[in-house]
Amino acid sequence: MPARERLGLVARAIEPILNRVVLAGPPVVDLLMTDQAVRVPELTFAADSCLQLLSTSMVDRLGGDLQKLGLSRIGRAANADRWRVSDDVTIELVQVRADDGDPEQVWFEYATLLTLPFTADKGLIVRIAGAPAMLALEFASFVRSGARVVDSEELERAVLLIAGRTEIERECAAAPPELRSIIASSLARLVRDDTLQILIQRALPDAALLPGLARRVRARILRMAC
Amino acid sequence: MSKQPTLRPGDLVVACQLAITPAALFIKLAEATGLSAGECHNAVRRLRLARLILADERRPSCEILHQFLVHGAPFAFPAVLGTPTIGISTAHSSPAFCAIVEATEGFVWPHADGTARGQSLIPLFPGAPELPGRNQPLYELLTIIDALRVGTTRVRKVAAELLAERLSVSKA
Repeated sequence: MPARERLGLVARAIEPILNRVVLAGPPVVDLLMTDQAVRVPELTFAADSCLQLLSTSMVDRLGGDLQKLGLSRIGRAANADRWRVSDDVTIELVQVRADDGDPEQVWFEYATLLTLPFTADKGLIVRIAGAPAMLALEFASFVRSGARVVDSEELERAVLLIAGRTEIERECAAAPPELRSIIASSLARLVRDDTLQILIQRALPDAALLPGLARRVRARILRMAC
Repeated sequence: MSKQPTLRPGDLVVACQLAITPAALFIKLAEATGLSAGECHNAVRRLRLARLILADERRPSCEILHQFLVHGAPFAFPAVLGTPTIGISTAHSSPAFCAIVEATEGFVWPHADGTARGQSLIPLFPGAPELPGRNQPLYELLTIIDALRVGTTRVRKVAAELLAERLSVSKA
């Protein structure tokens, strides 16, 4: 099932609490792409059947509302619950706690504060994490993963977002200082890495045939790294 | 030997077939791959020099073959892409990936009798489009290698896992 169809299904299922959650995770990158000239193959992975929803509300309180809507809980972790929406789709409800002591929670908090509306299905508006927060989440996830730059899905998604969203430079320049700092420092490290070219070509297949496209993306990354 | 020996794309095909049917005779290798017995013999010789096949047995060291296919083959045999056309599905649009990835656009080995449409990708060896139906395990292995050559990082990770399963490589 394509990601947008999954999102529509989830939005219909949890409509009463839509305004209390924010969609984050890999599918959001595709929703944030605005440059029509940057086309990438639409790939849907079986693992994407679980959509990540962030909320500052208590997970237990939201859980009660989800039960009333007919959803069933299928998994429980420290600050996240997994709920079954249908045979093909589940949601992971993550509680965002600013006072958790976990330094990475700050990026989740920004993701719930700096959101954009997205029309999922027939007038149903879902809040999605904004581009600067998504970049911060991807960079934090990359650091946590310990992967090499050339093997990092997170960095590839970050490069794709930078290449495919025309407003991203302006949005990052207007973002809060903490977000600007992690974005600039992460991109500065990325620019110094020899494998950035390969990352750009993997994220944007057209870049292999059009060197000018790769140069344009690299130049944008350089500007954002300052 | 006065010249630096190198691997050829067809050598990977022979290595994959030996992973499927270890210790196969050259004539059986030729039937399975569509290469000639002589080409198979030379491929085995080169694979032994490269230490991708064990010195005293005609079978690959699966762990080493896996490492080479994941980290080396995409650079030693870079993908050559062309225009959209009809052909045989490969890379992430092949049957090997059907349970894991859905794609709106894919890659094909150009072939007049093909039923899929996608961006054309030159196969590792010219006989590859004849493999589906004749030698399905080898066909799927070659499509996994193609995914390693052209895929995004996420597709490559899935392809590496699938390859490890097919080559029976133990997880670290």
